[in-house]
Formats: sequence, C-alpha cells, structure tokens
Amino acid sequence: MAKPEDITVEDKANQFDRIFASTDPVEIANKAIIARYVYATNILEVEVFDRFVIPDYVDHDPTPGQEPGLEGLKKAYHTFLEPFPDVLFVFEDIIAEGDLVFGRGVISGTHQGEFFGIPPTGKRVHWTGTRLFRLEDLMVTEGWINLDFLGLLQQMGAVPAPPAPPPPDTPPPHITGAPATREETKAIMQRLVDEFWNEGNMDVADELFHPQASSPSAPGLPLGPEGVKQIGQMFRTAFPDYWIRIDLIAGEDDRVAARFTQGGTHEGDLFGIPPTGKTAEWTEMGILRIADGKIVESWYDVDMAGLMQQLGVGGDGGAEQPVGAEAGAEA
Amino acid sequence: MDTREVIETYYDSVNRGDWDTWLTLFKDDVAIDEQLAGHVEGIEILRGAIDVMKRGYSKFENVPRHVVVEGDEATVVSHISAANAAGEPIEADVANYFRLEDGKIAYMANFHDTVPFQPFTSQDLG
Repeated sequence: MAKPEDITVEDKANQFDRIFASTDPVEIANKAIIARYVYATNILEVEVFDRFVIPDYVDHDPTPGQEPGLEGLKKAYHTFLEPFPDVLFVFEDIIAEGDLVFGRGVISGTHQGEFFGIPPTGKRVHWTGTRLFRLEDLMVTEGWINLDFLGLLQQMGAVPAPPAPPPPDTPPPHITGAPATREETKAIMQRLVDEFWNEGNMDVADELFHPQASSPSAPGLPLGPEGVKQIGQMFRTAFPDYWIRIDLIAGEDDRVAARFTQGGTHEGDLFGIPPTGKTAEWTEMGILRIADGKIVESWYDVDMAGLMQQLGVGGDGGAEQPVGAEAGAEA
Repeated sequence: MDTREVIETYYDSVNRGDWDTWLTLFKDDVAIDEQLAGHVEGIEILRGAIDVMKRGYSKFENVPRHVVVEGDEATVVSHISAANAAGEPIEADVANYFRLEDGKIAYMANFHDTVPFQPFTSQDLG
C-alpha cells in the first residue's frame, strides 16, 4: 500500500492506467470525472463540482450535520479541513460498471484541530475509505462512503485499539494471472456472500481464495483461506444469525467491488466485547482482485464505528457526535 | 466519416494546427463542457477559441493514449504536451468524451486537472 505522504499532488487520483481498464466510452468518462473530483477535493477547488455534480446530489452517508445537495457536499469538506489542514485524499483504485464508479482510497492528515469533540493530538493519522458514486449523463447524482472511522479514532487515542496480530515482516506475494469476465468476477463475489457468509460454509473459502491470497485491510491475518475463515468464524460466532446482502456491485475483468448491508444479533464475543444481545445493522464496501479465477487480494472498509455505537461500546475519548453515522470524508 | 474516423481526424487536425478541418467535425449547435471554459454552445464559440489557442500556446500536442469507440460515442484518454505563449511547459493527462450525430460531434466533454494548465490560464492574452 502506498504511503500517503509519498504521493504528490500530481499523483492524486490520476488513475489513468485504471481508467483504461474499461472498454465502454461512458464508463471511462465516468472514471475520469471521479478522478477529476478527487483532484479537486485535494486543492479545495470545490466550486468546480458544479461541472460534474447535480444540484440535487443525494449523499446516502452524509457527514453528521451535512446539508443536502451539492452545496452540502462542498461544505462537508471543511469538516475535515479544519481538524486536518493538510488532509490528502488519494485513490489507489477505481472500478466502474454502468453508472457506478467505486474508488478505494487512503486519507491522511495531521490532527491539528478539534474533530467531533476530540481535541487536537498533533498526530499524523491515515485511514482508508471506499467511495461509490452513481452518474447519469456524465454528472454525479448519488454518493455513498465507508470509512475506517474506528481506526481513525483509535489512532487519535479516542477509543482503545483491540488486540491484533502484527503484520508479517515480509509483504505478501503479488499474485497475477489470467483475467475473467465482469460477470465471472461478480459471480465470485456473489458466491462469497451467499455460501461463505450467509450459509456459513467456511470450506468454500478453499475454493474461492488463492492459497496465498492477502488482504491489505487485515495484514496480520494468515494468508489464503485460513485468514478468511478466521474472520468468518469470528463474526458468525459473535452474530449467530449473521446476514449480509449486496446492495450495489460493479465488476471488471480483474476486479469486483460491492456495497453491502449486513446485520445480526450480538450473542457472542466480538473483539473481546462480551455479548450484548443487541441487534445491529451496518454497511461495508469490499473490493476483490481476481486472477486465474481465484480471489488473490481483498480490501474492506466496514462501518465498525457504527456497529460499535449500536452495541453501546467504545471509548470515552471525547467523541461527542454520533461517530457511527458514517462520518464521511467525501473522497 | 464514421465515429472512429471523426475522432482520428480530430486529433490529427489538432496536432497539425489545421483548425479549419477541426471545425468541420462539429455540428453547428454543438454543446461542450470544457473544464476551463465551462459549458459552451454553438460552433461560433469554437471559431473564437481558435484565436485564443493560437495566441495562448506556442506548442500544443494532444496525443491519444487510449481510444474507445462504441456506436456514436467515444472516449479518448490522451496526454497533452504544450507550452504557453512564453514557452512555459504544460504536461497533462486529459479525457475527452464525444457523442456524434449524423457523423459530426454534437456533444463533447473533457476532464482534466486545472493546475497543469495554469501557465495557459494565467496569461494575459488581451
């Protein structure tokens, strides 16, 4: 994963190699628009949003207090600019199908101002996020976002970080292989959701994942199906009635991205949190990279902050706002 | 000309500075969403823009890197190597979307970052 501090302004979101991955004129244009959007956010050129965002833009995951429409979207960036004056949004990947464009990014900044009640810490923080946009006639009409907001709060010391295995000393192998069709990549995502997560068939991971598949979102997990099974068993133990559905999906020949809604009743240990008996529902975005018909790499941005809030747990670090409300970075 | 021929002629004429040929590719009521100029309509606007191009750029090359054509639509991702009137260089990646009607460009939109074009936009061209 690229270090945000190593990426220049010129690099930001200029994902032209990934833009080439599409074969449809409108999809390529849509990707270019989103690349342009991210670039504009980084130089706070928000007035240029008028060129490619409709006035009645709908934000499905607004920042707490965000006003509706395009004007609210523009102002939302200041939510992050004041606490993080050097905030930087970088898209590391961009995936499109039809009217949807997913962008997976890293956001970084130095915590120099109050952020949802958390006083400035001076810490350099970075967190991941996945953005999803719908476009019609080359204009952005709707947006969704999932951020590792809990990870951000943990870096600022506002909530305790759960114990996690350290990342390996050596990076995982970069696996390459033959691409598939977009229908095939979407079918792999659907099987992962249906068979692994909803039916609880852990063994299907052996079929879907490459033996050395990795997840930059969880670098401490074992490679391959074993790591996926650990996560699956943890969630299905914590939420025995766990369910998940795909709300929106876009496939390319070596990538598939989806927005999920999931839920369940908290009846087992979760990251050391004893069962609360509460029912929760939270969202997520996930991206799989496919090679030779196997999942070789995966990224996830889960609304863990929203889940923790619904379970009534979390730190007392001063977060006064409903941090689980998908506080958006709008990138 | 079919869509691909129109697109190829577009870039060929731009790179040769053959603005007369370039103008023939557009419908009279063409609509354009241009990142620097905003939304403009009508071929007369384009005719006027040629003078600005000639005076504002001492060099202008727009080389396609990827061309996708489907029916009456096309998107071209290209790289611009240019220089303003004083010779200050401009390097930028650009995406152009085209929609044709009756073999002519009826709508065009381009998407690029603004900062690389500051040597052009900050000029006083009178």
